[in-house]
This record gives sequence, C-alpha cells and structure tokens, in this order.
Amino acid sequence: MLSAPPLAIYALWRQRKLGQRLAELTALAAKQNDALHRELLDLKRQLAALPRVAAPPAEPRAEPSAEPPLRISAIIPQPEQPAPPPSVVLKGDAPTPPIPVTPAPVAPNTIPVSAAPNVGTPGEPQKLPAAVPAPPVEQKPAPAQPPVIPPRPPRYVDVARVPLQPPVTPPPAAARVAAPPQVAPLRSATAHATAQQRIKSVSAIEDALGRNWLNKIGIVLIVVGIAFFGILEFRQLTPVLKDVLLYAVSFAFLGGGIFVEKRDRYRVLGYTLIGGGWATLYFTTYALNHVAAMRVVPSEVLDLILMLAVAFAMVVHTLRYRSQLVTGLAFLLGYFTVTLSQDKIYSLSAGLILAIGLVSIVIRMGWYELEIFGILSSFLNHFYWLYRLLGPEGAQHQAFPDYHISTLLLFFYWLTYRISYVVRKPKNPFEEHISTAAALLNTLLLLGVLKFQSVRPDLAWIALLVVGAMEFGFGQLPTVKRRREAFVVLTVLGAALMVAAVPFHYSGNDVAILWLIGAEVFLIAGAVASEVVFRRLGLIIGLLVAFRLAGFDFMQLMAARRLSENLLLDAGVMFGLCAVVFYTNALLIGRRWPKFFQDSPDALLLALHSYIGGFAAVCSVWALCSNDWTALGFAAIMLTLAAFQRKLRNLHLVVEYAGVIAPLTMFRVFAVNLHTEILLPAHLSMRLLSLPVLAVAFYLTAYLNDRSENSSGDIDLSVLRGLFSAAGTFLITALIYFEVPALWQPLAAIAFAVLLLEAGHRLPYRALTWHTHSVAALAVFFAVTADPLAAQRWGTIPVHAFAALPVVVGAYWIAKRMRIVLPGDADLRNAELRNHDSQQAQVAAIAYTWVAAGLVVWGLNEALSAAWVAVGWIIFAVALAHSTRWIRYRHLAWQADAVALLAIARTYTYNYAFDIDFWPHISVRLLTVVIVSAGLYSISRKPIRLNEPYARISPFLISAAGTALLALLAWYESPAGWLAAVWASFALVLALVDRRFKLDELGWQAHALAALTMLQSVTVNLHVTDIWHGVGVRLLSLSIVALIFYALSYLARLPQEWRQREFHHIYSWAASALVSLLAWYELPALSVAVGWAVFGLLLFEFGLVRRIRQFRFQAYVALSAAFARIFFVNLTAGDPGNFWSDRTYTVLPIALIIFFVYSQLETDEKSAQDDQRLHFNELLACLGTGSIVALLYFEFTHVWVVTAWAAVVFILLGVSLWLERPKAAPQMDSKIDGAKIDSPKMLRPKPDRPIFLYQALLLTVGACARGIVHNLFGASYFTAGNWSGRYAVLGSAVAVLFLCLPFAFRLRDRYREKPPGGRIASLFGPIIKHPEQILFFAPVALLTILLALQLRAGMVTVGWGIEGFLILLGAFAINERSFRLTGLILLLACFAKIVLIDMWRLEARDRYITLIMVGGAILLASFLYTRYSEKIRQYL
Amino acid sequence: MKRSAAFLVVLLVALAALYYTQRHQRPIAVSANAVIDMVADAQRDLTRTPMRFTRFSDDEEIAIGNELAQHYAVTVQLTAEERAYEHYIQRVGFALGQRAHRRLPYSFHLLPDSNLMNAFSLPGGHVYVGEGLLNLMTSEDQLAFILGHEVEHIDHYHCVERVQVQAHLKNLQLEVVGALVQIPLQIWEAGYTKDEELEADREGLRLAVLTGYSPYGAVTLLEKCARLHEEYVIHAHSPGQELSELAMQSLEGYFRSHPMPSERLAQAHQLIAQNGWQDRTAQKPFLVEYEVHNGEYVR
Repeated sequence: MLSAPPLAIYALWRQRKLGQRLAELTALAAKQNDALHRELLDLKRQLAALPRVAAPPAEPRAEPSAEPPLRISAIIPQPEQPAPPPSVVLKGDAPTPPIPVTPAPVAPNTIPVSAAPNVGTPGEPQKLPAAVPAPPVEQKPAPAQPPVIPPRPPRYVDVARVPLQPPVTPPPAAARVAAPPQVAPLRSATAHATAQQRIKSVSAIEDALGRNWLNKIGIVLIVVGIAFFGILEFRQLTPVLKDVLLYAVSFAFLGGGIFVEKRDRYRVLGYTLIGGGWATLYFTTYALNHVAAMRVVPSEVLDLILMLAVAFAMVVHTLRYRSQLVTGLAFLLGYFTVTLSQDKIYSLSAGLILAIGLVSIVIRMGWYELEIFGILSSFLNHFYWLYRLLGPEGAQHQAFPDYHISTLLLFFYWLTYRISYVVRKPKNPFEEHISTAAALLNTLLLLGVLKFQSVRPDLAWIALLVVGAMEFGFGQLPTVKRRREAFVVLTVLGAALMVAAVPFHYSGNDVAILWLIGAEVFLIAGAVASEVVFRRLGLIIGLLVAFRLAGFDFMQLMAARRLSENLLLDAGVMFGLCAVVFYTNALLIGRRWPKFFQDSPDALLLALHSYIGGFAAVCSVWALCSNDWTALGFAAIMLTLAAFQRKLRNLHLVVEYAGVIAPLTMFRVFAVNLHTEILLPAHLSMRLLSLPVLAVAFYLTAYLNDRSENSSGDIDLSVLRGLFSAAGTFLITALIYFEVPALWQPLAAIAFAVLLLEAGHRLPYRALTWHTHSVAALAVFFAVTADPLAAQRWGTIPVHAFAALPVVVGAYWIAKRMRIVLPGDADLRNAELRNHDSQQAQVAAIAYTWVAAGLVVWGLNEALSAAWVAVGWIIFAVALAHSTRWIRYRHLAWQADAVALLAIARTYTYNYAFDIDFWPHISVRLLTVVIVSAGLYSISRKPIRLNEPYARISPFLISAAGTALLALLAWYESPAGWLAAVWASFALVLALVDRRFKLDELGWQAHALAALTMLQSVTVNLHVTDIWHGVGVRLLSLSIVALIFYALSYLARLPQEWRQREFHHIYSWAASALVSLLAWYELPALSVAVGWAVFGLLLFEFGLVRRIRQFRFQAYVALSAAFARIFFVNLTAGDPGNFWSDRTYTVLPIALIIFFVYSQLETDEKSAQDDQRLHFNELLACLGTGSIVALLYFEFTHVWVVTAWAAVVFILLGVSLWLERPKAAPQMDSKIDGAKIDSPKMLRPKPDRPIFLYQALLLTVGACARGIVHNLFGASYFTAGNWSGRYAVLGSAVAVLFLCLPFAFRLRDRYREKPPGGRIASLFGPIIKHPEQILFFAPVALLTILLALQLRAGMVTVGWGIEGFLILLGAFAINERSFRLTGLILLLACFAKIVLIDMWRLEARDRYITLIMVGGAILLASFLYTRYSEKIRQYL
Repeated sequence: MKRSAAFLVVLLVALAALYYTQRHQRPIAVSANAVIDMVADAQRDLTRTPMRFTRFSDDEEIAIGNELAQHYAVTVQLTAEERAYEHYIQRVGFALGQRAHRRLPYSFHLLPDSNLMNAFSLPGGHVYVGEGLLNLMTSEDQLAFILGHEVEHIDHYHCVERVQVQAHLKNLQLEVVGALVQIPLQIWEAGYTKDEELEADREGLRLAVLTGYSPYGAVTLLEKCARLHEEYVIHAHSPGQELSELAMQSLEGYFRSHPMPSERLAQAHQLIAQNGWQDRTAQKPFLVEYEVHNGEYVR
C-alpha cells in the first residue's frame, strides 16, 4: 500500500517521458513523410527518364551506398502488414531472415538503427541501411507500401540513444528499451491555430492516458485486489484452492500477455498483463508460507528457494522484452503485494531479494529511474513493517526485539544503493540528475526510518556524524570527484549532517560558537582552495549562526530584559564578538578576495553577514546599556555607521542605520525617553537632557546624509536627510508638548513654527518649510483643544478664546512671510521647480488666511450665546464681503460665503427651536431667522464682481437659501392639512410666471416646491380618511395633484437640452406613482399585483400608440412591481393541495400580460427600438419565466421542484429552438413555389430569442444545484426513502435533462454558425455556443453525487467506476470529446479515491471487490481507447 | 388586427381575474412568507451541506443541550398541579421518545406560564411545553402530537444544526465554558424553517400514531391553530407600513418560515389518507390525575 504514491509518481513521470517521446516520434514521422514524398518524386522522375536511359536500371544506383540489394526483397513480401511505428527500428532476435530494416522511403539520416545483442560484430550494423538512396526503378510499388514489419515482436529501441549518422557499434546490453509503441500518425505536421494546438495537446494526453496508463492503473488495481483477496480468509475457499486459483490467474495473465503482446495494437496491454502476471506469481509464491490464508508450505527455506526461483525467472523473462514497463511493473507490484501481507521481520527477506535483483538490473541496464522506486519501495516497505509493529508513534525510545536486525537491514539498504551510486557512470546529465535524486532519497529515507525506530536518541548525533562523515568521505573519492554533481551532492550532504549533529549533543553558546568556527573554517578553506562549494557552505553556516542568535540567544536576551534593566555582560560580549566576526567577514574577507564575492549568491550572502553584524551590534548595546541610555547608545551606533558609510560607500550600511537602527532608536524614544506616563510639565531631568541630545544626533545624521548625497552619485540620500531632520523637529515638538503648560502651548508652538520658517530661509533648507506647516498645524490644534471645559474665564468669555489670538497673528505673519526657499545650488534648479515652489508658497499663504478666518469663527462660537452665534457669523460674513471690495483680495470673498453657509446651517439646526419671545409676539426664532435672511439677501444683492462665473452663481444660491429659510418658517407657522395643495398651486403659479417672464430662479423654486408637494402627498395626504361630499379626500386631493403633475410635465420650463432628455417626465413618473399608490389603497391585497399589471398594460399601450417611451418605461416598472408583489401576496395565497387556487389565477394573468408585452416589443420593432436597446424585452422575458418558475416552486412540494424546473428547461429549449430565425428568404421560396405572399410579416424573419436559451442554461444550473443541496444534502436523515424520494425524483430530473441534449445539439449547430450578439453572449460565449456541455455536465454531476450519497460507502467507487465506463462507452458512440474526457476523469478519480481513501478505510471484502471491479472497468476503458484510437487521433 | 384582438383577450383575462378576486375577497395576509420560505430554503440547503461534514457527536450535543437547559431551569417552586402537569407530559413524552430514531436522554419540562402558548426543544433531548399551550388542549393525543413534533426536531438534528449555525455566525468556540450564553434563548422558541416544521409535523404525527395515539389529535389542534392565526393576521394601512412589516417579518424570519396552519393541516390529512389511519378517531381525554396530601404532590 505504501508503494502506491511512488507508483503514482513513477506513472506521472513516465507519462511525461512518453509525451516527450510521442512529440519526438511525431516530428520524426513528419520528416519521414517528407522523405517519402521526396523519394516518390525521385522515383517518378526516374520512371519518366527510364525509356531514355539505356543502361540497366540498377546501374545508376550502383554508386557507393549502404543499402544492400537484399533490402528490396525484404520489402516486397510485406505489403499487407500494418504500418509500424516509424520511429523505431524493428530488430528480430530470431536468427531467421528477414533482417530488420527500416522502411524503405525513410530519409537516410533519420533511420534509427540498433543492433540487438545477437549482432556480434561492429561491422554488421553497417550492412543495415543507414543511408537509403533512391530505390531502383523497377521497384515502383515499393514506395507505396507500408513499412516493413518483421514476424517477431519488434524491439523498441530508444531513438535518442542510438547514434544515427554514421552507424556505429550498437550499444551493449544496457541499451534503453523504449516504452510501448506510440503509433504516430503518418501525417505531415501542419500549422494549427492555438486552440487547435491545445486540443491536440489535450488529445495527446488523453491518448497517452487511455492507451498507455489506464491499462497500468487497471492491472495495478486488479493485482492489489487479488492480493487482498488472497490475504482474506474464506470458509468456502481452502488455502490450496486459493493458491491454485491465484496461480491460475497468474498464468492466465502471463499467457494472455504473451499472446496479446504479439499484436502491434495491443502490445502495451500485453506488457502490462505480463508484469501483472509476474507480480501475482511472486506474491502467490511468497504467500505459500507467509500468508496464513494461503499457507501450504510450512518451510521458510523452501519458500525462500521458490521465491528466488520466481525472482530469477522474473528477471530473465522480463529482460527479454527489454522494457522498463514489464520489469518495473513486476518488481514494484511484487514489493507492493508483499508489503500487504508481511508478518515478521524474516518476511522482509522477500524485499531483500527484490532489492538485490533490482540493483543488479539497474547497474546492468542503466535504468537509474527504476532505482528511485526501488529505494522508495525498500524503505517504505520497511517503514510499513515498523508501523505495524510499533504503531503510529514509532518506538518512542522503547527497545523492541528486532531493533538491531532492523537497523542492520536499513544500513544494508543504504549501503547497497550508495555503492550503486558511487560506482555508476552516468552517460548524460539527465542520468546524473536521476542519480542525484536517488542519492538524496536514500539518505533521507534512512534517517527518517531510523528516527521512527529510534531507541537511543542520545546517540543520534553519533549516527549523524558517522553517516555525514561517510557521505563526505564518499564525496572526496577520486571516482566521485570526476562527477561534479555527485561530488557536490555528497559533500553538501555530509556537511549538512555533521552540522546537524552539533545541537543534538551541545547546547547554549557552544552551538553558536562551534557553528561559527565551522563557518569560518569552510569560508577560509574555500577562499584558499578556490572551491566554491566550501565557501558557500561557510557562508550558509554563518546564516545558521544568525538563526541561532535570533531564535535562541536573542530570545534569552529579551527574557532577561523583561525582568530587569541590569547589565548583561556575557550576552553583550558574545553579541559583540559575533558583530566583530561578521563585520570582518563582510568588510575584510570580502575586500581581500573580491573575485570570489562579486556574483550572486556569494555577494548576497556576504551582505547578509553585514546585516547579521548590525543585528549583533544592536543586541550588544541593548545588553550593555539600560533605561534612557539605550536610545543614546543606538543613536551613537547610528552616527558611527553613518560616518563609516560616508567613508566606505556601502549601501548596506545605509539600510542598517537608516532602515533599522534609526527606527529602533525612535521606538525606544517613544517607549522610554518620552516618559509618556508623566504628561504634566514635570521638568524631568532625563527628558530635558535626552530629547535635545537625540534631536542633535538626528540633525547631525541628517547633515552627514546631506554630504553623502553629492559624493556618491548612485545613492540619493535626500529623503533620508528629510526623515532625520523631521525626527529632530519631532523631538523638539515633543519637548514642547510635554514641558509647556496647555494655555501657553499655542504661543510656544507658533513661535517654534516661525523660528523654523526663518531658519529655513537662512540655511536655506526647503524641508524646514514643511516642518513649519506641521508645527503651525499643531499650534492650531493646541489652540482649539486648550482648556476644553472653559474653566478659566475673563468675565463671561473663556480665556482659551484669547489663547487662539497669537495663533491668528502668527498665521497671518507666516502667510505674509511665505516665499520660495532654495538651497545653495539654486542656480542649478530649473524653472519648473521654481514655479512649483512658488505655487506651493501661494497655496500655503491662502491656507494660513483660511486658518485665521476659521479661528475667528471658532472664537465667535466660543464667545457668543447659542441663539446669536448665527447672527455673529452673518455679520462677520458681511464684513468680509465688504472688506473684499476695499482690498480686492478675492479669497476673503470666498471666506465670506463660507461663513454665510455656516450661518445658514446654524440657523437651520438651532434657531428654529428658539420659540421664545424676544418681544411680545416676536419670537427669537422669527427675529434671528429674519436677520440671517436679510444678511443673505444683503450679500446676494451685492455680488462680488471679481470672478464672473462665481458672481452669477453666488446670488442664485444665496437667494435660494433665503427663500428656503422663509419657506421653512412658513411650514412652522401653517397647518398641515392643505399645505400640499398650497405648495402644488404655488409651484404651478411659479412655473407659469417663469414660463411668462423667463425668470430662472422661480422655475427652479417651482420644481423644489413640487418635490415638497410630492413628499407631502405621500407622507400626509395618503393617510387622510375624510369624506367630502361623498368622495374621499384622499382620492380627490391625490387626483388633483396627479393632474397638476401631468400638466407640469408639459408646462414646466426647462433648458432645451434637458427637455430633449425628457426630464419633464419626472412629473409624469410622479403622477403614475401616485396612481399606483391609490391602487394599493383602493384594491384588496390579492388584486393589487393584477391591478398594477393592468395599469402597466394600459400605460404600455398608450406609450406604444402615442410613441412616448417614458410611458412604456413606466409600464415596465409597473409590471416589475406586479412581479415583485406576487412574492409577498399571491404565491402564498393558494390552498394546499388545490391546483386552481387564488395563486394560480392571479399569477398566470400577470405572466400572460408580461409575455404579451414582450411579444409586442419583439414584433413592433420600429417604435420600440429604445426599449430593445435597453434590454427591456429581455427583462420582461426574465420576469415572465421567473413568475412561472416561482409558481412551480410553490405549486409542487419542495422535493419535486427540481423535476419541475428540469421540465421548464426542456420547454425553454424547445421554445428557443422553435423561435429560430429562418435561414432562407421566404420570398425566394414563395416565388419558386408559385405561392402568393399574404402579409409583409411573412417576409420579415422571425426574431431569434437566445434569452430563452440563457434562461434554460441558468435554470439547468439552478436545478442541478437544487438537486444537490436540497434533495441530497438537505434531505431528511431518516425518512423519504431512497427510491421514492431521491432516486425517483432525481432520476426523473436527470432523465429530463438528458432528454434536452438533442435540443442542445441542434442549438449548438445553430449558434456555431452565427453566435448570438449581446453582452451576455460576449461574456458567456463558449457556454452559449456549447449548450450541450452544461446539459450534459449538470445531470452527470447530479448523478455522481447521488451515487456518492446514496450508495453504501463500500460501493461508491464501484458505482462511479461503472458510471465512468458507461459515460465513456456512450461518448465513443456519439464521438463527443468532452463527454469522453469526463468518463476518463471519473475513472481516474476512482483510482485516486482508491489510493487516498478506499485502501485505508474500506472493509476487507468491499476493498478487494472495489479494486477488482474498478480495475476491470479501467482495463476495459483502456481496451476501448486502444480499439477506437483513431477517434482520438483525429485531433492529433 | 391580430394585435388588438390579443390585447383585448389579455386585458379581459386580467380584468376577469381582477373581478373574481374583487368578488371573492378572502382574508389574504400580506407577508414575506414566500420570500422567507425561498431564502430559508436556500439558506437551509446551503448550510445543511457543510453541517453534514461538521456534525457534533451525540455526546457533544447532549452536553450543549444540558448547558442550554440550565438557562431554562425553573427557579420558582412548582405547584402541585403544575408538577402533575409535568409528570403527565413526561409520561407521554417518554413513551414517544423510545420510538425516536436516535437514542438520546429525552426529558420533558413544563414552563409554568399560562401566557406561553408554545413548545420548543433544545439539543440533546430537552423539550419544553408552555402551560398556555396545555390549556388549549382537549385530548392527550394533541399533547402527543406536540411532544412528538418537538422530539422530531431533536431527532432530525434541527436543534443541533441551529447551534452549528449560531456558532458559525457568532464565531463561538463551543468547547469554551459559557460560550453558549451568547446564543439568545429566543431562537429556540422562534421555530424552524418551513421544511423542518413540516418534517417535524410529519414525523411527530407518525411517532404519535406508532405510540398508540390518534392522528386526529393533530388535526383538531391544528384546526385550532388555524383559527387563531386568522384572528392574529394584521392588515397594513399603508404601503410603508406594509413594507416595514414585511421587513420586520423578513428579519425575524431569517431562521423560520413557518408553514401556514392550513398547509400543516393539509399535510396531516394527507398522511392520514396515505397510511389508512382514518379509523383511528378515538382520542384519549386530556386527564391529569394526581393526589395532594398536606399540600404536597404525592402521585
């Protein structure tokens, strides 16, 4: 069982090789075909020239050639043989003629020639047609004959391993035996499109899988199933009978394989049967003694002799075929089956025999790939034995009796395969790579199994050291050193094992120091001896030391620092030492031997050493310094590295101090030096000391980075300079924050900002300007947050309102002083940068004036009482507006408008609540609102003429705001009853006046009032229940409003462009909405949807007749609303069990109306083009189908919904097919038939309606999903019997969906020629063009999951296997490629499930039945693929 | 011409439907039941699949149910009559529980609240019946139907699946003590999806009949519920009110889409017809016999 994964890996690898071989053979076949044509043309030319040539026909070809005359006679007797694979040389091992030759027309330099072992002399191959000239003229039929087939099964010789030109001595017995014949088609390679190439590629894989791999998988499953059958004890079958039965099966496989292998088409099948037969035979022989259920031979010795005999016969017989397939199958299946039944350690002798035999074959034949699987099988076989003996946890340090024998066996395996690796002589890089994989696998598996059976873990380091030393020693052998890859593998492996041994025995600082010594030894040895492997080992071990420092010593340091801030001298010294060593490696050794460390990865590794040194230095400082001094120490390292960087020009040092140490320093400042736990100005000495010192350090580092900027052209450190200076500024700002009292902080901060501005001007340094902005912003923040509770007052005015005044003054000062700041090399700056800086300065000045105005507004808000704040603001706004006229600074005008907006907002949110008297009958609300409105009108009547567009907009907005405030005031004062009517009438009057006098403001105010009217109608009038002269007030008032709205839709004056865009129909939409609401109030709940549908129908007809599309759009909305409403009333209205119920006769008319409107859209195309362009026809189709689908959902029980939907799919596909667009013009046909054309509609083609196809596909997916999640996963756990509940329902659904396939195939034919247009079609084009795919895969998925859930657990795989085979059979019958692939994938899934699940979980009986049944199905599938291979090769 | 004729036909059909519904006005309730039914159906289907693969074991379910049951523990002393009621429902319930599919420690409790006309169950086997619901009953067969219904909610994993859903929604770690406190108790009283309720009705009725009770107990009780439901229906007075009520129903009904009483009644009749239970009309009286000595319940 454990060999199954290696088998699968081997199978995948083998498949890939076969694929490559197939491609090579295809190319070769193409070349041969070309050569054939050339030869044919030559022959024709010779035939044409023959009458004119007097010489005998053979004479012109008697020139020096390797072709013997006998070759022609060899071709003639074989005209009826099937074409062999042209890529192989047929070489019979029988002594009888004919001598195997290549096909006659093959080009000379493409003929692969091989001599079998019976070819004894080097000269013989030269007799073979290594070069084939044009055949003699008299052999005219010869070129047309198929290639020659020898009577014996051919030997397939690897083309790549056979020298082609000139022919040389054939390889010895180690000649590579090829895989089974890939009968490549004799077709010339032509150019294909990309999609075709993909199909070709997939088909090639499918072909390879079907003809080459399914039979292997099948035979593996059957053999394993037979083994399980043999192990299982039966009462009915005695051991003797079982042995006889298994021997019969073995010989049947062998005989069948030998018989079938002779036929070219079924050769692969024959090979697999032979391999399976030998494996079964070996297992049966093994079982004679070792399997209880089959034991008939009591003697282990006798059984061992028998096994040796079978193994010898297996080696001899399988080598006759020179096929890795036969040999591999026999040996690996032998391993596999023996593994299944081993009982004690002596039974491992069977594996030992197989290992020895396998290694001998590997060395003899050069099949190094096979050795990998031998290694896997040996160790995994042993592991499985240990697993059964010790359990999943292994030995767990508890001795067990067979420990020493087991250890010896393991070392025997390792040594056997290691010697095989050392003595071999690979002939090409590929074989060397394969050998490398085997070498690594050998050691890794040895260590893994040793670990599993470990009894003395304290001695593990000795085992690692010994194995490592032996590997290292093997690597230094001269025979290995000649193979560079082997030398590298063994040296690295040995060094890795020796390094890994250290922590198994040592601990603490010793590990890091030992590794550090080893790293230095390897590094220096590699530098001195110029051996890159040693150097890199040294560098990598150095990295290991770094991991050790980071993962262990650093953790200890952190733990110690958590406890105390005491001096840690040991850790500090050790980290310091490591820092010195690593910096020495990075800076000295790298400079001493620069040629070794110039390229990657050496340069990278050396750079990593520099970073490790930095890490160690930081850790050292952390261990040696404490509290506030740590940040100072970090700052010192930062300064030192910055100085070194200036000297050495090393970018890595920049990364270290700027990327790591500086952030670390700042982190430490935040964590410790700021002392945030003490917020008040406590004047802490360390804070007063360390923050300025650190600020100076950062400013100095910024200075050093500034100097480096110009010296090294490839490093631009200006950004770093900015960051370091920002850090310095931050530290001073923090000092202000922590040490200055709150009410004085605005003054201090704005003063520091002014200082930074002036300093930036003096230095000059542009970044300080940005610092000024930041600190000024902080000053504003300080001003508005100081004394938030207003505890300190001057009279009634809070003091913090005065604290903001210095900031106002400072802001205006900075705005006035803001100008361009350029450094010393300003001349080099271009004009663009200067302009940019100038723009920035202007923007900053504007911002500072805004900030000043904002602070004034904030101050007024703080100083005045709540009711008069808005008044104060509007007065300030008026003052700003008027001052703008004097000083002509337009930003003051903007600020005035902004302040006015604030006043409006303030009035709206506060002043309407002040319903208190200021004077008798004059409330504060009335007075303040009037004053604010007066101020607004004042501003609007004195428009600013600085900016014309703004001057047009400003009075419009401000007067509108005044009007709105007054309208709102009226709302407060008026009763609510007639307000909507009054507003509607007022809006109508405004609209009429606007229409007469062209006053734009009034028109817009009319629209606003109309909107308010609509709101009032909906919120108030709909709920009025009064009666006026027998008529409901609601009906009357809303009818009036609706009429006014319909009138406004014609009367309202709008810009021409807007009217063209039909904005005036907003009123008709509102009117229709009111009518719909009235319908809701006046009709019973069940009728509302029908009423809306009727209203929609009438609107549609009106819109269609009058050609007003907005009415049609309203109709669509009404129909959509009707559709939506049925989900809340109509669908649940029916009586249970009563088919014709309220639900039916209210939903069906709605669906009828929707489909009628849809049909009108399709027929009257001219007046409904917009509707079609907006896809309303598709929307209506979806609504109609949706209502039917929803109706079915509620009409049927939940279980049967899936079948009902499947039936709808059938109907939709039928409708889609029925609505087909005629392909031929009916007019032509009519003329031919002599019939008259009654109507022009007969001439018009029927519209194609792919929407129904889309719906069908969507519903198919929905039905499938519902079947899965509802009927299968969502069904009851205990009831709803399988046959009546699930098999019947889902079976009927699956059957209906399969019945849709004929429709789908016809639709595929239709849309293949002319795909439907539209966005859906472009998105899902491949799906729509191939509807049969969904209609096949959906039921298949449903059926597959049904089988998975409903069958007994042990029979699921069997069910799937049968389903897959039947799908495959049907797919071959209708020749549908995707269906065939589905069957193939299902069979492969069965195989995967068996390997991953069934092998481990099934009961014994189910397991062997599953294996044999599925294996049989897969074998039959392989037979189908072989039998009908032409159907696949049509894609190749 | 054809188009006009078709238009007239469609219009007449729609007007006929309109006229018919206007003439035969029935008290149709506007509700989100259809949408909730579909959504709950879909939600249940979508959650059922992963639940199958993450099912709690019976022991885990019992432990969870016991922890939840602590929140329903009656703190007041039951009167002698109430104790007799509780013994009565325990006797009927145990007989039913023995015929359930799963072997769980079913326990039956009375909630002494005459306003509580409801019964519900917790995972692991706890069944609670409100005293108000008992007051509605006139036969023991009705009680058997109610208890069978609740037992089948447990038996068919409805309760434990609700725990799984809640645990997933609230990201609860059920192995943590006290995590279940975050599951509101109201969700157990709220009911289940339409499918689950119908399944519990169906299986509960089957259980009651297997135990020897008449199926017409369920019929009479469901008829009573249908009458109460008709009285309970509230008609909206505005589209806004209707929309808000629909929204509230949608939110409340996230986990439940109770079938209409008429549907439940129809299913009961269908089961009776299918299984040939028409002759089992005799119902046992709802008879609680007990004795009190010195103010203490003795039997």
